Amino acid sequence: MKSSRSEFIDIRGLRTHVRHWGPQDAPRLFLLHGWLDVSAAFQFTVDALKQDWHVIAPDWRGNGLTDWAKTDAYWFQEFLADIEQLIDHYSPDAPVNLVGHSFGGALACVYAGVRPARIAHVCNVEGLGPRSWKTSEGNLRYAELIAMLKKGWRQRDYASLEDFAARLQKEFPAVTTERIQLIAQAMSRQDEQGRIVLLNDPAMSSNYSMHFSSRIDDAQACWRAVTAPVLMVFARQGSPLRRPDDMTDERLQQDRLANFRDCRLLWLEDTGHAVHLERPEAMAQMVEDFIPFRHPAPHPVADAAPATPDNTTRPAAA
Amino acid sequence: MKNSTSTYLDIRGLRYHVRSWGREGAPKLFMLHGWMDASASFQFFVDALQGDWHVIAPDLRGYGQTQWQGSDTYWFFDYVLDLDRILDHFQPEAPVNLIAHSFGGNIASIYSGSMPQRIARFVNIDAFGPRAEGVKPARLEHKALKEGQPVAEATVEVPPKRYAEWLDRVKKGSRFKDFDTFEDLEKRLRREHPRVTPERIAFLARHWGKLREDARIMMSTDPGNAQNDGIHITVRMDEAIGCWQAISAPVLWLIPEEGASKSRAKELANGGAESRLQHFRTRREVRIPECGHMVHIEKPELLAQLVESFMTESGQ
Repeated sequence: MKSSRSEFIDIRGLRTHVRHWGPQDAPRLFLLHGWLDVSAAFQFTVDALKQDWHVIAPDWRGNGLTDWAKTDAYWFQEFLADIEQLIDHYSPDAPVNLVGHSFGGALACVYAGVRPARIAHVCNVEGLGPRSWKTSEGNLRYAELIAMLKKGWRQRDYASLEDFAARLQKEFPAVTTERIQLIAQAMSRQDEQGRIVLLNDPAMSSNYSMHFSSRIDDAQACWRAVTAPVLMVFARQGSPLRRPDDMTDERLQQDRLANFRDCRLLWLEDTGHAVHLERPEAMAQMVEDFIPFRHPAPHPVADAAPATPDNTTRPAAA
Repeated sequence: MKNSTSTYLDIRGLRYHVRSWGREGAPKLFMLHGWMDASASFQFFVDALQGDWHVIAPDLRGYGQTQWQGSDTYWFFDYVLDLDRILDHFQPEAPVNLIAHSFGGNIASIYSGSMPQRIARFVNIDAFGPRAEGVKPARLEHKALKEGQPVAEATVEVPPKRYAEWLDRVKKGSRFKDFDTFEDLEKRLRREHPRVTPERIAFLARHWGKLREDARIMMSTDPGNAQNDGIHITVRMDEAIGCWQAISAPVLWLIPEEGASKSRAKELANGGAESRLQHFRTRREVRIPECGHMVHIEKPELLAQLVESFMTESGQ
């Protein structure tokens, strides 16, 4: 197992935990974890990488060892500013390679459209992006948001780490026990009474506010502005399957993938949503096949890239 | 001057200051102030009320005496959620009378469509909702006007650009100017609000500004509110329209004829106003001549009269 080191940096007033693997001067991969996940969960993917990358993986606000925001509702947009300042900190000048899982992948794809010149490659694993809301029904969405937040949340706790691990194992039956134990440890701490409590902010236990605040048409406009090559990876038993009404193959193509200028689609067999836990070797290989092991050159269209493409011409499908 | 009393509430983890005037038990009027404003500026309106009302006005998050969030951006959604909690606290059962100005009006409009059963009557003062897509950000338009460029050459504004502009602003950070004395702040406010009497300006200066530990005068508003998304970063026109159309309470729309900024005035004059107003199906409109955006401090007596007759007419 490759060893990681922890660094804490200030991002927009929050003490943010950033995990590093590999030599400082090596070509970099930014690994962005998903909703209710932690940077440590990329351990197995990192272990499976052939090249000696410098891997940089933050715990998002409200997750892992990063501070909680003082809020009961995490909005999607906050993370755009967080990722911006993360990149400012580690790579103010050179474009970066982003690899994101689930929410982290969805965020990477939107950010890559907001700051196209800062991104060399995007690998999005199981990050489907926003639901297809009917935008004219904004009033119903707000009413739902108000009701959902009023309910509040209670953080579950466990008598022992084994209990928590058992719960995770039930959720991810295909993941080995050793891996589950490592994840359970990384996602929790022991409180004064000896109980195991989760590290994530309870306000994160519902992803309603995040879904509420990201709209499919906003995301599409951002996707159309992405200039970096994008690799989309979906698991056969993963997220498109979880939203079957939303996600026929045709709609996946039309509503989502076709918005990118340069997008490759890969289906992974024999895995569910948690690709980085179930098939980390396959994930590592896809990443290394897609992203060359070198420091990204300044983006070829960095200066010319318009932040807002002409929306009347729809880019060709990938 | 009628006396106000202060109440402090925990709203979603934030210590909220709520100002109230009048007799508890009297019919309630809920007031929402706008950007860079505070509840205290409704004082003149309250002084001019003839009837027996219990007026309740929060300082919105990051304003007045309400706690600052301590973050670099304030989100529109949070204000909608806060409003719901405040109304629940003071009047959980019966629908409320809501009077809201500018940014507060945008919050109230979205809320009134989302929770139509909570609203009895709604007075919207000069709050036209999000910028239309395809319209230049106001300051770019100002620049174009200043440089004599045709405004029609507006760049289309789409989400990635809007987000990028916001990220730039966050990175730059924001600071409001501070002042040596309250008199200096008054001087500045007199320039911004030439129609308002010096006595009222002096009163406002002491609520919009406050004494800092180093004896200088700072604005009461959290500088993070310079990045207040207003409604423009996160709310799209179609979504706002959906909310406006769902409002079931009678709406009184007050439009000061000199309210909008130059660029906004142009957009609104070119059919922009009607294209928005038409979605408020239960509205009545009153245009207020010789009045700028700050109706409640420029013409509080007229505002009080309009509000009282709207709130007391039959069919309530």
